[in-house]
Amino acid sequence: MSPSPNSFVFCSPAKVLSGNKALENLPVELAGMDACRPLILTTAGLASRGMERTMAAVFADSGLTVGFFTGIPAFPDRKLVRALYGLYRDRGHDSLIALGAGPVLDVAKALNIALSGAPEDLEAAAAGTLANRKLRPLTAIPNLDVSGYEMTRYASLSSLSLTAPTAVPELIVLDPRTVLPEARKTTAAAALLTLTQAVEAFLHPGRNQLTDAYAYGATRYVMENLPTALKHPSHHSSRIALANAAFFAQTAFDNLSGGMIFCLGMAMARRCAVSPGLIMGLLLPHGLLLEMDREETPGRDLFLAVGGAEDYAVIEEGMGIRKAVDRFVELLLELQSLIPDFPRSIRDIGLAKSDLEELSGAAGNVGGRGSLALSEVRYLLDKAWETRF
Amino acid sequence: MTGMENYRELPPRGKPLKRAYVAVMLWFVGRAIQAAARVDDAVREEFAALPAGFTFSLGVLPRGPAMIVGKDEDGRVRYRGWQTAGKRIDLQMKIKNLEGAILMFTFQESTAAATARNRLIVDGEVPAACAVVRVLDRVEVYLLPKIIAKLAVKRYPDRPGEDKLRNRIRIYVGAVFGFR
Repeated sequence: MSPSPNSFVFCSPAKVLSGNKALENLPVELAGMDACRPLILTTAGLASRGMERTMAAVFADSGLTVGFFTGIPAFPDRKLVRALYGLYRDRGHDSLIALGAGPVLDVAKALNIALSGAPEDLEAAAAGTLANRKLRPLTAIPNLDVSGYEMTRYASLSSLSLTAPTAVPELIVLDPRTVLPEARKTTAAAALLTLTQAVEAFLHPGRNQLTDAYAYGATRYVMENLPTALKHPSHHSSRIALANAAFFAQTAFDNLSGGMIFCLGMAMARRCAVSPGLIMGLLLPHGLLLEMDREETPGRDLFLAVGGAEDYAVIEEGMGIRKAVDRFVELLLELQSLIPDFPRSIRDIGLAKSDLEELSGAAGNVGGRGSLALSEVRYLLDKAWETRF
Repeated sequence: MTGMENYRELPPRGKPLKRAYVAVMLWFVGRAIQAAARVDDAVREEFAALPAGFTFSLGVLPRGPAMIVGKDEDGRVRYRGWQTAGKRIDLQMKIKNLEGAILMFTFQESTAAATARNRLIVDGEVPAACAVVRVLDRVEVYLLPKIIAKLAVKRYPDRPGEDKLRNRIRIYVGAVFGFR
């Protein structure tokens, strides 16, 4: 059943440049945002993979001198934001480019909030009370190793969880030269996280036609391109499709509250230092089976995204969720055959059964987004504990 | 930590070889348009439909190179150099960056594909821009061997002209020597 067109709000302020030579448009796009002296933030790891040379080539004919900072650590703190605040001002920069995923975007968003107002605004963003002020131009150039929050209003900085609707990057560039091949397990984990965000957007009671459209695009891209991206890492199109899928799914996610599987996956990942996407992938079939008996579950819509139009045309009424679960299990089995150390159960990720009780409560605290029924969470965890794919 | 040890500035070093290549191609194509307007009926008809004095430019952002082609009051089509400053230009077609221009002028992408991929900014009337794209396609059919021209144009004509070989020679000679 289509979602009701009554009373919904949808926001996606980002312009996306995707494909071959997309990066070369950066100077023109920056000029359109009245920016001519960007500060590029990235990690030392990405800089050592040739990103400095790539960005130097992108701006070589632009007449612009850009700043290039390579010191973003895996777990950034406010001290770094303070140092970058001074650097940005002293060197006369007027915009930010976040080259990378996860912590790079976290720092870029926090720095942008501080720069566009005052450093104290970070506390307001942490408390969710930051005024809707337009921030400085922020461009995101994400890669495949996404955390699920890059293209949303959320950022985390050591103990601070920031929320600022205007912190969503204004421009997103997805180019094969920056969406580099990653380790198979990293690619799979990020794609499963994207898939979870997309599928849970379909199941969300606040879904609308626009979130459905974004969730559909994300799901199709992951289902069609993940195996190819793993088997042939040099295949540009499949990598770019996965990067686009992450943008679609995160935009849908940003407009809805987080689902149970996403929250549980994040909570479990914090406890056992495993990529949240891997955990979400293991939980997803169980989460969907929980939804199967609900009358309002859009099973057919979901299966259209998961299975594609041809298979959608021949499924029986009421079988959408079941068939979608079958597809996800097939995908997990394929991933296991491609990645030797891919976990087969949540028992393989370093959890003890006694942890499950505590996790039921911890999931409710992820991102402070919505409430979860604890009995359902516990049921799902028990089922996942018993199952080995 | 000050952050300065991880900071450096990347000055714009330019791409002189690519710029020179695109500049030569624009110069040659501009003069070839001038010659084609004299020898090819389809190009002549396209220009006939444009108003007298109509001038267009095709260039690369942010600093060129560019080519300017215009129609005189008496209807003759002329290549008017690469300096856009101080000229009245009715239609400006700007390629957003040098790499986009390289894709077009190494015929990896047709003008139509480049437009569809958002590599061009058009400042002027859309019908005139469509006419200019058709002229560019037609000229490329004459300038390039068929195997390359098929990559460069949207649709390779079944019959590019009854006197294709003769026209091709006249356009090449006109482009190189600048006969008007």
